[in-house]
Amino acid sequence: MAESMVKLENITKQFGELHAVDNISLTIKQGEFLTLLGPSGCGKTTTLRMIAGFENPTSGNIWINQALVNEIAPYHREVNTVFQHYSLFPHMTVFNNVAFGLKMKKVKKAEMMERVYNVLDLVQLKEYENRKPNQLSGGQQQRIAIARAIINNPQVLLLDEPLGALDLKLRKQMQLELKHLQQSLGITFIYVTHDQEEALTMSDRIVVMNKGKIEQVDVPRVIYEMPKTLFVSSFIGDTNILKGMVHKKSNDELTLQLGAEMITVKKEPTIEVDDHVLLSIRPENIYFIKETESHDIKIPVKVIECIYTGSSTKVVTQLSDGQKIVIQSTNDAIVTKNTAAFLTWKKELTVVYKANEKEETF
Amino acid sequence: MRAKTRKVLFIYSLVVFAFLYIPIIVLIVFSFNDSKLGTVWTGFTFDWYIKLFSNSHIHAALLNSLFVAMITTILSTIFGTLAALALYRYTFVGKRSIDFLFLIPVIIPDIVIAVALLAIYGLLNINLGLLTVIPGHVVWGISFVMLVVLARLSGLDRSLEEAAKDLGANEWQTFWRVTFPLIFPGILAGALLTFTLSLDEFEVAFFTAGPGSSTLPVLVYSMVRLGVSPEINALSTILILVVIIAIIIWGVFINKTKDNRGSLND
Repeated sequence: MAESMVKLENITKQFGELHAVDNISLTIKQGEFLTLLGPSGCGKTTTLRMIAGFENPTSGNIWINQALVNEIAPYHREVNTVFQHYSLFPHMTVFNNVAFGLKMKKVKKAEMMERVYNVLDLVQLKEYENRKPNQLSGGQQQRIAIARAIINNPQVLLLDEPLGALDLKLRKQMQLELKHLQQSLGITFIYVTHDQEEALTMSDRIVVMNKGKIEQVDVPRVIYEMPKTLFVSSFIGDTNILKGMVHKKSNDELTLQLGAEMITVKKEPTIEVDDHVLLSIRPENIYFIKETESHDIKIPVKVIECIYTGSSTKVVTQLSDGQKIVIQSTNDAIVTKNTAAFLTWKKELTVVYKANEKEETF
Repeated sequence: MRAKTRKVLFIYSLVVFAFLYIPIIVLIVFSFNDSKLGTVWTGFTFDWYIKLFSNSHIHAALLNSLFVAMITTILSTIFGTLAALALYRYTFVGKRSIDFLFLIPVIIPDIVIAVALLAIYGLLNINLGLLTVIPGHVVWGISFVMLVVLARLSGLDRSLEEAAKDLGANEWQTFWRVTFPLIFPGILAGALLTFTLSLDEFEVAFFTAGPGSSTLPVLVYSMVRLGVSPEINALSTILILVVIIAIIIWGVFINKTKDNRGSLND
């Protein structure tokens, strides 16, 4: 395993009565692109600010590169931050903004000039060195904010929703650029976002946070395909949440009653017979089949609505007990409104949660 | 806008401007009047200006006023700015009361400050002189500077200071390289305001200046008691000119720094 670059140990941050971050522990590896993902108020930005040193944890320890940094001021930490609204110094030119960190370190002028021009080259804004930040577009300001941070060769780069203020197209482009930059620099990136698609695209690992706690930490694929909690499955991507009941439990399978149908899924250790459960099935994992076909899972439904969305068609169907299932179907699917149809999905792509604790959906 | 409304508004504006500026224009015109009586126009002359420049009382009073205004401005600007920074940055018990205490000197009449100071000087057996005027001016000067700087600070994006620290600047470097340049227009505005207010302050200067250390407004008052002399008109005209030039310089400066505001979004 690669060395740990940042380690959070039982970190709690309270603002008055509010537990913004509630006893989280996390190890971030050297060179890793780690994303803190969650809705607003989940504690992801507070966590980032504690690593940067702008907030002190109420309890717990923070280690950066094997050194305990709890009491270390932000200007003595070897981390740099790209702020949400860039926070470029409005009274300085692009050159002076980028050179700020080197000036603070008293780097010699010749070396400073060389490094500033190198990094301006890297973000392709060399010709803007004499502009003021307000003479740049949002995307350009973004690049300068990144240049200003990475010029200091930080051990860790912290990014607080850095693409939030950009339009969709530019955001997509910057996502890839940032990912490539991270790979070529080999710096550890800790990236905060509430955009699950962004997290899935860019990250090596994703930390899904909710209400100050960590829900799941894993690689994007596992987060998406095997969400550990109901929160994760509904926060990441679209999904159908269906109510069911456990009918039978065998060695490795559960038989569930879903509406009037019985389906079998993988066993979950904590779930017993007669438990109420929630099933999560992604719309793109559900297919229409003909009545004559036979499958493990075969659910009769009524087609309520077909919505054309360009690359696919969204079909809303209804089970016999009234629960709705949304299917992301190919455009040539042969279903029509107000007719009967049959659905199937793979049983290993069905995620089952016990229903009693959290029935909230998102 | 309808043509009639526009016409009414135009006339209304004219009346307002006339109300504001006709007395000043009359004053300027009569400063060039050949007659000693300020009411009838008899011919053009620069005599009053020449007389003004050779009047040693006026020289002394002007120097007194400039001295008081300068010291007042320096003290008020330093302490007002520090107070604004403290109130902006820290929350502490009784902060709201402190905020209010800083407002009081702006609100209460100058005459109250003047009489109160006079009582204290009497109590402490302090001889009145030119220096005894300064505390009375600094009292509200601090409040004015603090209010103006605080307004500037509240528009400042705090993450700029965090960004500086993140890039390795300690508290001191952060202040001088980021905070100070961004609030400087506010500090300058507060300083100019204090300077002009101190320069034409009358009550405190009248009550707390010692004999022979009259400031300009006090001298003007004593001269006017013997009737408005065209010399006073000339003096006022010069003061107006100075103020206009100061305002122009200020405007140019503001325009130059307008792009540099540290507001939240770009």
